[in-house]
Amino acid sequence: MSAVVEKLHSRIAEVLGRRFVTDDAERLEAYSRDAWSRVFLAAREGCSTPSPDLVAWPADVEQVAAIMGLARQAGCPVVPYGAGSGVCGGTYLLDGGLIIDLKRIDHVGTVDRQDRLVEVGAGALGEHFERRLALQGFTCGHFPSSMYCSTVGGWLAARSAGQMSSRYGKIEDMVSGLTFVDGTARIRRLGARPRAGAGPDLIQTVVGSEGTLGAVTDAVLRVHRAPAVRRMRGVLMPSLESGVEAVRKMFQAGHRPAVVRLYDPLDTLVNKGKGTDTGGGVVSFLRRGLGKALPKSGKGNKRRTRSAIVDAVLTRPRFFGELLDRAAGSCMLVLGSEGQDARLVDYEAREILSISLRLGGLDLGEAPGEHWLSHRYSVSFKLTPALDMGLFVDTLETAATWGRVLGLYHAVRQAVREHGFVMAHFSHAYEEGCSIYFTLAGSAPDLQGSEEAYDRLWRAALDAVVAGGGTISHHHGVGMSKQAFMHKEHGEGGMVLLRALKKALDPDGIMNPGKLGLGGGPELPGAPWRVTRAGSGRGGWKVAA
Amino acid sequence: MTAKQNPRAMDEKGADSGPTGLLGLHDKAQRYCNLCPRLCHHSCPVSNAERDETVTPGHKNALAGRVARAIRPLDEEAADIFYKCVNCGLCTTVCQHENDVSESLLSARAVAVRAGLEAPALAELRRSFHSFGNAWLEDLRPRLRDLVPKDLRVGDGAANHAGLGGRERGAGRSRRKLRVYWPGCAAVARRPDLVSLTLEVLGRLGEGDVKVYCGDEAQCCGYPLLAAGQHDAFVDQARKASRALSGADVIFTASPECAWTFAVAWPRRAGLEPPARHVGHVVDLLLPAVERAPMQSPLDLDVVYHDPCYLGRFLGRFDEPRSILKRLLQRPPVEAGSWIRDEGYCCGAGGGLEITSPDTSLSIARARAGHLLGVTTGPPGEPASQAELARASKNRHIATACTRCSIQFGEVGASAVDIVELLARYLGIEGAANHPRLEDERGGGL
Amino acid sequence: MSLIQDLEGVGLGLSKGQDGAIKAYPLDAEEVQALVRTCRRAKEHVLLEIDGLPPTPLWAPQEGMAFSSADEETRVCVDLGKMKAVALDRESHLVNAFAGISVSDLEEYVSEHGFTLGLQDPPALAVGAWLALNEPGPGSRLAFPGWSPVAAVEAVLLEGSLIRTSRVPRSATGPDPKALLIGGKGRLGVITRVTLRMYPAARGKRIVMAFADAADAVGAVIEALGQDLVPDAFGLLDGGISESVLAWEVRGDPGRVARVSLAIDEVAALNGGRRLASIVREPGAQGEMLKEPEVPGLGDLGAAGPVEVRAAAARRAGRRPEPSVAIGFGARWSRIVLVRRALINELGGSVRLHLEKALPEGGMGIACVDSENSPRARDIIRQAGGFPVGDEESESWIEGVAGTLLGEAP
Repeated sequence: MSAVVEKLHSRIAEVLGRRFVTDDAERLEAYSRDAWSRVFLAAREGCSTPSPDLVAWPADVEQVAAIMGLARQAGCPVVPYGAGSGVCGGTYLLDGGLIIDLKRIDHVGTVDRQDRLVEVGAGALGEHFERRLALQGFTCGHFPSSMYCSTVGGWLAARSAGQMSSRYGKIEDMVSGLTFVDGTARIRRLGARPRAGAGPDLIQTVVGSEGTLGAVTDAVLRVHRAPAVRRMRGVLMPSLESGVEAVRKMFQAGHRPAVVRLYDPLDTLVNKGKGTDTGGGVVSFLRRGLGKALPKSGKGNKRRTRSAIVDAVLTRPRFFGELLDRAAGSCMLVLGSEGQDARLVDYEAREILSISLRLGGLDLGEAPGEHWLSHRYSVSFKLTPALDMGLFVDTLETAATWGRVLGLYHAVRQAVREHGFVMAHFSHAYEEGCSIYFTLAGSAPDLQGSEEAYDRLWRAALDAVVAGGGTISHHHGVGMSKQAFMHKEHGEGGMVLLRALKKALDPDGIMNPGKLGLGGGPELPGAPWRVTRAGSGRGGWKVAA
Repeated sequence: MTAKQNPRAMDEKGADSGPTGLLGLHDKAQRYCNLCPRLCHHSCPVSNAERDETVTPGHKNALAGRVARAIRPLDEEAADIFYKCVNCGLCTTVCQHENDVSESLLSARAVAVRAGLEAPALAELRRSFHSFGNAWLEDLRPRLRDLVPKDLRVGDGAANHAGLGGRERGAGRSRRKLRVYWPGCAAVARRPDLVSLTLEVLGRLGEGDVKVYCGDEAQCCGYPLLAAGQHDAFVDQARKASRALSGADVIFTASPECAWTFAVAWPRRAGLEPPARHVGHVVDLLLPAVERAPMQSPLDLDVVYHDPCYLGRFLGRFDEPRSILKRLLQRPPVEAGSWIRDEGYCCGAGGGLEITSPDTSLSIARARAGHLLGVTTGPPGEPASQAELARASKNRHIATACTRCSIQFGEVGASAVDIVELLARYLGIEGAANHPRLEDERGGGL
Repeated sequence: MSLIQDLEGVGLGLSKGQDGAIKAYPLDAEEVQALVRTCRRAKEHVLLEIDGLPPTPLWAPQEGMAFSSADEETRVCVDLGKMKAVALDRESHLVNAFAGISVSDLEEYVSEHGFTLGLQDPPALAVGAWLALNEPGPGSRLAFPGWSPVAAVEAVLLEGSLIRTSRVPRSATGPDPKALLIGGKGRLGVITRVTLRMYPAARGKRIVMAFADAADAVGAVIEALGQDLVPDAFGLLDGGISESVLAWEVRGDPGRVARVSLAIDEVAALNGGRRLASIVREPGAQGEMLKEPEVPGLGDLGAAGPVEVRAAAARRAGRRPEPSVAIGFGARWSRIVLVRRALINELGGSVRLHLEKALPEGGMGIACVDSENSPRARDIIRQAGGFPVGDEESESWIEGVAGTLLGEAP
């Protein structure tokens, strides 16, 4: 360990106590990855990715500020860390540095019942936060599929969206106040007040900054009384176009159903019209569906043959994609309304159902909606078996205005089909548009091939997204994986403004370097490192000041 | 065991009596944990208490996998992390792949101990078993005999290597089944009052024929050795206890982990049959008995129920203790929010954590007790202070059905009562109000 | 060569004002960009003035150290009056407008096409300046997070580059650049074009209720919002020692309007409210939330009503209105009654509150106080847990970003 790391280690230990800072190899290893699919490819082969030099666990905002001050003096890069569920490589320290794990700051206050606000520490895990609110009769309304393994701070860092965002909003809509330590180690407290028409909304300049401006330590979030009534429904729409039209009409008529999920024909086929988020389930579908066609033989033989079929499909994605498209037709639309007043909830449920039926939908009753609700977090579990089989699987979420959304959908599918398997669902709807959530899968014989194929697929997909007028991310964030596309998203002027913001709050550039296109980092989608079995070199911090 | 036994535990095949290759049994779970965004993150009492990614179930199991695949060496750092588990099984419940991290880590500990990497804190445990046959650094046999009237003892006197002799005693179809109550070493050492009360309650409920094993051969089921990774000593202890208990038809344990050890861990890890055709927990015996008994006036207490991990998740007894409490209170007990039943949250006293990481163990207990007593909205979250717990204990009692849980909550100053204590009080058994906090409630006992 | 010659050189329409300021009349964002770049390259200190926003220096802070005298500054006034084109996206319910059109004209334009911007009171201010000032902000429903009226902004940054924020419904691509420009008072750039959300113009219903006590009225609002009943427009007039009046307007789908109105009625009744009026609002109807003819009995509030009402009454009676000032403020719902009580206790019974926006966590409006009490009133509001508008900590933040922008090479 270099002298500079050692010195920083002991100075942090003076502030936090020895227990709360570490350079133990295995603990650094635990912090050397997030949930970026590309990193799982390396992990599958037992390879390590760059790890930090130190991990520290401050207990409050003052301690965060103190150790960030020390890091700044040492010129040490800093990454604030929640629970590592980000899927964009947003927490990697390419040249080493300090990770600040915020999970000790996980207090959840008593809900102010008049203002319906609650104070929460950035380190509170989503599921804990929601359960602790539930005990008080409230909900935040934020249910990302990473609910079990993401923190409030992580949600804020990446502008997260929950599955019920159509009613409750994205996390940026829920935040009323923030406490934040900027890159100069200065504590800044923002908001926690009603505001409209009162100067710039600084909270929105911090939300989404992915740790590049500083570390959010506490937030004041808007919460809602736990819904007293919920009505779930499934409708089979005759086509994707009619489904999109139905959703547009619902929102433009002023309805705000909590759940609106329209599965494309292929996704509908894959999940057998049950209304489940499919994710890596594509693999079990291929194994199950195509495996059935096989002649009966020994169990082992059949399993091997199924794997071979999955491989065959994923290595010829275009051919099989078109084949499956022919078999697919209708689209599953899952709807859910909830709220306090049964009269209003029932009215909305009736109205949105009738909009769907007028456009040719077939009412499937409550079952598909209830099924979706009880399997709402399954999608994340489904990725693992697919990865374990040797595939690469990832998800891309974009959004566009209604006028562009179908064109964008077709463009991305077309672009990706050369490189992998793709299907999608539409969710997170607004008056002027909605998001599209693509599931992408592919296969290559070895790690290097997989990484290259993965990068090619992403490049093609993001090029299509940009050309189609979509955003490169609706709610996963940018991190390292999409940062090369930030200038296409924001344009030259946008990047100038974001860089000026960065420089104003983090003049030395110590905060999460190499992310968000704000300096350093890879120029193409993909990781800039070569996987190794050991961590990378230490102490030679290169900071883009 | 009955059909309520934990299905996933019983499904697992391939018990290997030695530690070598044990890690290989968990290969799929380890691979999956390595490729998962730690979706069980919220469920682990240890990582919730320590706030450290290193001790999340996903990372611990992936680490075991890396050791098993020789990607990283087995060293002290890895061994230390293998012990950061309370074996509560909650992560397995929330995992849609049912990855059994707890079992994988038990195997990993066994491998670590075999490699000479036993946690230093566990050396004393080994010595205690060697000298006294239990984990409590004293011979508990005399104490147990003092607690059990002569006519209820079986297996005492000379060491009975042929077992309890039940079959000889009652040769023929009409013989009465030999039903044995196994208080477990924790109760004898730390809650002897519970042993006496249980026997009195059973007598009052017409179950006076239940005997207590008071022999010399075995005082412990071996669970502490299993949790410590001392595989050979565990097998040895299991064999002793198996010999001692042979002949019993039914065994009811006070601590649910004893029942689980008999019924699941012995076959799986020691290659032994369970010691009786039916192994259950004492609630199995108490529920039908109390339902048969005439109704008494209800207990006027605010009682919240804590699901012990082994009784609930591992043995599937969620409703029995609740039904007993409902009978005693004539209303359902208070429930601990959503951390109940198969998502019940551990008290922190499992897996030997109280020995290997005592601070973490107590921190888990304070968080859980704070939640049960309404001091906090956790767990997890900031653990409640001893003073807060003591204050809250004046108004509410944690009811549980596990000796280890009630001892653990007592350690942090919370009022925890065993269901047997409440039953005794319900039945008007003298001495049942000796529990200090129960006395407070009614200003001087019954 | 002088700055004016440079500006002529890039083809800008110019005139010289009597006060010596250069007036520029750009036609589009590219011309604004050419103007800013030319000014940045000039060998003089240029102060940019746009549509009545505070003047913005176009030189880097460190350069400013050498020139402290205002005499050495050249003022360039940008008139966006020629930038008024509008385009509708009916499918996505968006309207794209150049920054020079006034918000009220824009509302008129969209209403001709069957839409509304949904603002409570569209001002006559140019839409770019309106956003730059972010005052008085959108009406109640649109002030709710998730209902922001602004979909996208185009601006020329002070450093000279053009920014067009993405016109997607939502994104997760870093901090929101719009947030620096909206309410930035032009300190970071010149807003040249905006995309606003619009809604189908629909009939609405306004319910007006009276409460014996302002605290009851606030209680009713808290309860209604707790039931997720969101007003499209809102007003709460503190009646002082007389009744307080609450107006709650819902628009849109008739079935929904009927049910929400019913729910509001019930909530009000449970909190001691008494219905004064239920008024059908035609599509596109604007204007004040509370008007005498619509509120039977409002005239009776007379002497005990808010300062403006009293002033109007005084004018009608030919008397000189009492001098008063309105202090904009916001307060969480739990603090509104405390703020009111503190003001009344400290300043006497002439204080009145008028809430104009209901947000999830609190209300925003004005406190009318006698003018000599104005500075004290701000302190009292602050001490009672409210936030006088203008107390924002944002200035230094924005200045920091502006400094960095201007530090960039032109």
